[in-house]
Order: sequence, then C-alpha cells, then structure tokens
Amino acid sequence: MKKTILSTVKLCKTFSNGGQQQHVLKNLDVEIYAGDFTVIMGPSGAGKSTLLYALSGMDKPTMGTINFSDKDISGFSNDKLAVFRRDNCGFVFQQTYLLDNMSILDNIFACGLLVSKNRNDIVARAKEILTRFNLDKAVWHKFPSQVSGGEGQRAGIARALINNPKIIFADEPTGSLNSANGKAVLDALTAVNGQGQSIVMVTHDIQSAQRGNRILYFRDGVIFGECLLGEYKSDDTDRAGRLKNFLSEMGW
Amino acid sequence: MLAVANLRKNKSQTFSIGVLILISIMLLNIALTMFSITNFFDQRAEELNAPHWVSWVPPEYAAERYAFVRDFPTVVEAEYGWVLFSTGHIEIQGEGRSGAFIIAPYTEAQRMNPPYLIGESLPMVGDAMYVPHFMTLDSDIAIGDEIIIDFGGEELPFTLAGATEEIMFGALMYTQWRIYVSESRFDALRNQFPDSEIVLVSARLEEADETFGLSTAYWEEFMTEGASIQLTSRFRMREARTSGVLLPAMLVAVFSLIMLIVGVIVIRFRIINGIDEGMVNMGVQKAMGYRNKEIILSLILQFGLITVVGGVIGVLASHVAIPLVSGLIAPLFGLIWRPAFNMPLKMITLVAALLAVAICSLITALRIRKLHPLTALRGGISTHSFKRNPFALDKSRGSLVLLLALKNLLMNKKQALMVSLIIFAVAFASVGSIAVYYNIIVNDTAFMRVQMGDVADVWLDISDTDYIADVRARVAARPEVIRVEIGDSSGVTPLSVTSIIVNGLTIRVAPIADFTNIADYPLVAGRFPHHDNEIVIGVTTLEAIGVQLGDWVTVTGHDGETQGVFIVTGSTQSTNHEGMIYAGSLALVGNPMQLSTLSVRLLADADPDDFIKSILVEDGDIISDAINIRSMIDEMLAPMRNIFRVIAFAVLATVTTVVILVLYIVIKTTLLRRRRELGIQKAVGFTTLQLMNQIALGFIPTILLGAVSGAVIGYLRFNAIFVVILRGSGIVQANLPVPFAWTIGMCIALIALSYTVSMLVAWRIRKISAYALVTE
Repeated sequence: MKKTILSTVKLCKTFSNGGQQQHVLKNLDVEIYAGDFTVIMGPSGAGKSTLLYALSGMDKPTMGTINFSDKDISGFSNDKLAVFRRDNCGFVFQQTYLLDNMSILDNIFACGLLVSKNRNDIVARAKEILTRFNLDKAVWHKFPSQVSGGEGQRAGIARALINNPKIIFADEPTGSLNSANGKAVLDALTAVNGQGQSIVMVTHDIQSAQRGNRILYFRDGVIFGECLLGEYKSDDTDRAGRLKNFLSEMGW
Repeated sequence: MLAVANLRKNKSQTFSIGVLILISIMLLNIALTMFSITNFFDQRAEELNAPHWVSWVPPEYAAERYAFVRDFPTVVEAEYGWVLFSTGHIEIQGEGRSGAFIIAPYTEAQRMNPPYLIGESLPMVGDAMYVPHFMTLDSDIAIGDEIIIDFGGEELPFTLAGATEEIMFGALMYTQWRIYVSESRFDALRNQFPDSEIVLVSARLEEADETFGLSTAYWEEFMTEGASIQLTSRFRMREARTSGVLLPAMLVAVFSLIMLIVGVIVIRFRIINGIDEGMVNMGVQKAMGYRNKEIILSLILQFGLITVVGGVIGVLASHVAIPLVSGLIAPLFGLIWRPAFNMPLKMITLVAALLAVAICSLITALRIRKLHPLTALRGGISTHSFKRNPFALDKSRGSLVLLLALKNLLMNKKQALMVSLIIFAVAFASVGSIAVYYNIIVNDTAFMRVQMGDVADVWLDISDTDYIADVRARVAARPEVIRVEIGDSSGVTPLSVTSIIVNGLTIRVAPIADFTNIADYPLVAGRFPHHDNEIVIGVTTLEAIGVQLGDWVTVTGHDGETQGVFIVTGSTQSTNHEGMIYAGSLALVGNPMQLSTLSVRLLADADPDDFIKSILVEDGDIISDAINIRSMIDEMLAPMRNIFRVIAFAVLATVTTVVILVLYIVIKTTLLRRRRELGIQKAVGFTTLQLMNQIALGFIPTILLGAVSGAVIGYLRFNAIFVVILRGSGIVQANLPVPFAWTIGMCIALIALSYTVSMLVAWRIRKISAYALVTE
C-alpha cells in the first residue's frame, strides 16, 4: 500500500475575467503517492499547470482542501506557504527561471541556505548534485545566460533537489529544450525518482510522460482517467504503446 | 503622444518627480521673492519720500549744519525737525524692547517720511502715541491700550493710538525708534527733558545710495566743533532691515537648488531605467519607423511636461506661501510687504528648471541612438558584467538575505551611486540647517561673534568720568564678570564705536582701552595692536582702500588736519565696526575720547539684570544708565529665530519628503525591473519579509555612504560655505560649531527613515506572486 503524500478534497479554482467566471478545477479529489513519478496530462488550456501550482502551494485554491502529509495547507498565508515550499517542495519550470544575476552555484546555494545554516553541508551537497547531473566545475561559476538550455534546466533540477524536498513539481521541464537536452533532463528526473524522490510533472509530451509510473489525465476540471505504467525501464518497448492507448481512450 | 502614453503608464512615478520639482520651484521662488525685499524697501522708501541721509545735531549747531546740508551740491531736498532723544525701554504685552527712542511731534509739516499710519488708529490727542509698525507685531496689544515707556530714566504713560510705516527709525535690528506724540504732549516733554533735545537734519540726494560724499564733507566740515557727529543713511537702514531676511533667503535658495539637482538626478535615473524597461517597445517603435530624435524628443517632452506642471504648481504654492513668509519676517523688516505676483521672475525660474531637465533628459536619452531595432526587440543586450560574481555564496559568510542584498547593490552600482548622491545632498543640507539652527536658536554666542565681534552683556554709562577707572576696577573684581572694557559715549547704540578717516575713507572703529582684555576676540588675520601706532582694520575696508597687513595707513582726526600714520597689524570682521584701535591712539589724531561707558562681559550663567541691580546699589550715584544688552540682542534676534525655526521645520519636512519620494521611485523601479527575479525567489521559498529586507538592506550601505559623507563634508565645510553665503556682508571667516551629537543623530535618523521607507515601499512585494510569474 503506497503512502499518500498529497491529496485534495473538493478542490476548486475559479478565475474571473471581465465578469466571466472560469472554473478550472471543479471539486477535484486526487491523491499523490510518495515515491511515485506522477505525470499530469491533458489537452492544452485544461488547467494542468493550475492544478500543479495549486497542489504545490504556489497558488491558493478558491475552495477545497489540500493535505500535504496530513496537514491542510489550503488555509496557509502566503508567507507560510513560502516556508512550506522551501521545506517540502522543489520546482522545475518550463523556463529555467534561474536568477540571472547569480552564478549557477549561487542559485543553488541561495535556495539551500534558506533551509540549512550548515554552509559546508550545502556546499558539499550542491557540488555532489551538480556533478551527478554532469554539470562540471566549468559551469558552476557561470551565469545562467552563459550556459546552454539543458545545462540551465539541469541546474534548475539541482536547485530543486538541494533541500531534499519531499516532492518535486515539474511544469513542462523539457518544453523549451531540444531533444538531446530534454532527454538529459528527463534522465535526471528519472534517476532521482529511482532513488525514491516523489515527482509530479505536467507535460503534453508523450516521450516525457513515459517516464512516469502513474499518468493522470486531466480534463474539464477533473481527473478524467488514470493509467499505471509501472516503474520506468529504458528497455520497456511496450510502454509508449500502453500510454498511447490510454491517451486515445481519453480522447487525446 | 508617446510622451503622454509614458506619463499615463507611470503615474505614481510621474507624481513623485512632479512633487520634487514642485518643492524646488516653490522654495526657489520663495527665496527669490525674499531677495526682492531690498528693492521693495527702496521703492517703499521713495513712495514715503524718506530721507537718504540723517544726522542727529545738538540744537546749538542745528542751523549751521542744516544750512551746510541744504546747500550741499548733490542734496535735492533737506529738512530739520526737533525731537527728544534718549535711551529707554518699552514694554508691550510682556515683550520688552530696549534701545534709543526718538520722540517726535505729530505734525503735517514733516515732509520726509511723514507719519504714515497703518490700519486702525485713534486721533493724535492727549497722551496718544504712534509707534513703528514692528512694535505692534507678535503681541496682543490693541489700539487704545496703555503703554509705558521708560525714557531718560522716567516712566512715561501713553495710549497706543496707531502704528506707522517708518523707514529710518522703525527697524528692530537698528535700535533707534521714532515714536510720535501730539504737539502739546511733545512741548510738555521738551520741558521735562531739556537735555534730550536734538535736531534731526534729513536730506534727500540725487542718488539714494551716494551718501558717502555728503558724510565725508560733513565730517570734514564739522569735526572740529567738538560736538559728536552722528549720522546714518538709508543704505544702513536697508542693511539693518534686510540682513536678517537675506541670510534665510540665501539658505532657502541653496536648499532649493539642491532639491532641483535631486530632481534632475532622479529624472536621469528614470530615463535610464525607462529605456531598460521599455526596450522592446522602443524596438517596436524603431521597427515601425520612429526616428531616434522622435523617441528622444518624447522623453524630453515627458519630463518637460512633468517639470512644467510641477513648476507651475510650485509657483502657485510659493505665491500662497509668500504671505506666511511675509508675516514671519514682518517683525524684522518692519514694513508691510505684500509682494505682487512677479510673472517675469516666476517664468525665469520655470524656464531655468525646464532647461535643466531638458538638458539632462537629452544627454541621458542620447544612448537610444546606439540601440539597434533588432537588439531592442530582443530586449537589449544584457549589460551585466560577467567578470565578477560579488559575494559568492559558497565563499562568503553572513546572513543569506544580507549577502543577496549586497550582491544586488554591487550589481546596480549606478543606481547606488545615484541614491548615494541624493542622500549626500540631503545630509549635507540637513547638517547645514542643523548648524544654522543650533547657532541661531540654541546657542548664538559664536554666531554673534561672527556677526558683531565680542558683544558685551551689559553696558554702563558713567556720569562722572573722573571715577570711571574706579568703577571699572570694582566691576572687574566681581566674580560674575569676565572683563570690562572702557568705551566712549559718542555711540548712540550701546555697542561703542567712533568714526575716523583711514586713507580718506570714513570708517567706524571700536576704541579699546586695553587689548589684553580682549585677547580671545576673533581676528581674521594678524594680531592686536601692541603700540599706539598700530590699528586693526576690517577685511572689507582693507579691500576697499587696497591695503594689506603690515602696510601703513594715514588716519585723520576730527580736526581734519591732525594725522597719524598707523601700521595695520590685523584684520577683523564685524557688522558693528570696521576696525579696532587703542582708545589712547585717538588722541594722537586729535580725537580725544571721553571714555564714559563700560562694556561688561559676564559669565554665561550670570543674569545681567541681577548684575545691573547689584551694581546700581553699589555705584548708582555715578552710573547714569545701564542696559541689559544680552536681553536686547535676544529681543532683536527673536524674529530671526522664528524664521529659522520655520526654515528648520521646512528643511525637515522637505528632507523627509525627498527621501520618501526618491526611495519610492527607486524601489518601485527596482521591483518592476526585478519582478521576475523576485517571483522566482518567492517560488523557491523566500518570504515577503525576507525579500523586503533584501531590498531595504541593499540600500543601507548606499544610504550610509551618502549620509556619512554628506554629514562629514557638511560638518567640516559648513563654515566655509557659510562664509561664501555671507561674503557680501563682510564676513570672511566663521568658526561656528556644528553640534557633533546632532550630526550623528541626523545620520542615524536619516538611515532609520530610509530603512523604514524602503521596507514600506518594498512591502508591495507581497503583491508579486510566484504563480503570476510562471503564468505570465
């Protein structure tokens, strides 16, 4: 029996625009399990990212509750949510969103020092993660604009991991990368998931989605369907087919 | 169109810059209007047909001297009038004023400055009295109230019947005041005070300020008669009335220029940041076919419009404020001054500000020419220097927030420099204000020394000069007395001076019996005389006669023939006299002085009134008059202190406003520019408070640098700048203390204010959500 790390109860998110109300999340009940690589898919404009940011405490729901490790975070203030995020979450965005006035290393330290005061520990850990993601020393002291998109995104993953988050939220992490860089990023995410790291990723890319063991199809404000692909193995040739079948059942 | 669109887009920043311009233009206009007071004085004096030159003449010499003045070639009109003249004291609603009183009959025969009544008045009958206008200000006295004047040792009751606009004898700072009584009362007083009778000989000349020739000829003609010669001129009256106004006006002008500089610096900052923020828009405009000069012109127009609107409101605000200023300086000035709306002057200030802003905008906006449309469309080339990564987090120690703040500071050096410059200017102006406030309101000893030299606390008039040495010895022996100086009685003011001619120029010198008594008196250069043939001369006089220290000068005595050659050993500065000489030396040039006064300097904590009471008990039989000069100067300085209180408050309010506006503009710009960065930081877990502190702390070193350097320069150079401002008044050296603790306090207050304002403005970070950032 898998342990639930994150769950929602009747989660609603509504946007108002010029008097028109748009209900993006409609009484959504969903559970995310620890250690899973959960992938959220769905048609464009369905609100996948809205769901991701609501789950991660980046945005507040209109109604409903979000329980993270049995703690309701939906009523948290912005600052409490910030502390929650730094202590529990890691983020990988479509764009790298590194601070461009800081070196790659500083970007990671700035995050790590938010949680830990043990500077030596953070330094060692940051260097270990960067090395693991094939980001050598030559890259550490460069600024984000001086590195490639793939290097920047891997640095973003390293930043997301620096505080040993309970869960990583990734929003189209390969969306702005070429295939080679995209693969490197997915390999990195797959690798950390293999070590037990929970990941929730939003994507519309089938190649990326195959990395997940659990696929949630999101449509019309609710989870429309679910597919369990099992643990990712590079030699699992049938994986893409199973995913495609599921998606076509969902009307993809 | 582009300019208007930009204005709409940045409303709050437009408002802030407009307020900065408004403040500077308002203050500049107030200062310039205050400067115009000298012209107003001349104009009003002419309207009242006031004399240009007046002499007090003993009755027995009146006919001869009047005839001389009347027939003098440049005199176009002359008249004489009998008056009573004596030192005295008047109490109005608890406000005491000590000085010399000229009691004149109210008569229509007086042609020059005939009594001109202001406001409500009663007929001149019985014991009615008209006083100079300034005496009725700052008190609750009403027409019909009884006033007691201590005149020539007698208490005289009068009924206040009105106030007059008096040019020659109606200034607080020139302690000779003319009051009018009825002709019948005057006749009675003549009988009561026969020794106080004198004749005022007045003259109007072809040129109001060219009284020197008449004065010199008058001296030369009558100095042999033995009777003292007292004269004054409209020029001196104008100085007495306006000097107290021109100093604050100068300070306000300097402050307004500092504010204008601050405004221009902020505009430059906004243009540079506006180019960065609107880079893509500029690219689009260029791609659409806008030429560089059109884009540049739109920026000039944008800030020109702000300047015009802010400036026009500033001009109007100054016009509203002028009556308040006028009321404030009325006791000093003594005339009713209601300056008209001087359109050319207002236009000049407005055009000057507009020109400064336009030039600054043009120079700053020229960088747009180098911007290629494609580069602009791509958001420009990152100007970040990749050479250095200051405060690398893996190597630096300290709080994360502080390190990030310092990182940002070093990566925005130009912005930091601008804030530093502005805070420098603000701190510098604040220290100047503190120093002026301290030296005029809290402790005016040093200021008085700069202005008037060493001023006595008590002045004693000795009736029997045979005993003056004995009285001096007894006074000097008192524990509360620092020193006693013997002077002559020729001066109508208690600050004893007499006139001599040096190289043909008539100057007022202070005769000193013993220079060892005034060893700590400030000299600009050189030393005091050690011998009879040595003299100290005022700096401006030395310049006027082209003489330097060590040169010999010819001093001519009252007989016009006896001359002595003196060596100039030192230079001094004072608005009270133009030189110092051994009293005994005057006899060498035929001016034997009748030393009949004692100027007494008391310990700071000694009460002059107590001293006077005590000395009168001891030597009352030979002391004919005693004046508390300390309180008299306090009375004279009271309106000036009020002005400086208001200036201090205005500076405080302006400094606070400027700090708030500048930090608002800079931080808001920073938040806009760093919106993405702050959003990322929020996303990864930085709290709003941490980000606010990061922003605020990033400004602290900059503000600290500006505040400390401004305070240090202000502290060290205040006296030099003060001298530059007062150079025209003959002040060439000043040693006014700048209170160190106050300066430190100002720095701390400025930094605390800046930090608080930064935190408050940065509070808007709470509105930047990480979600908004990623969904943009």
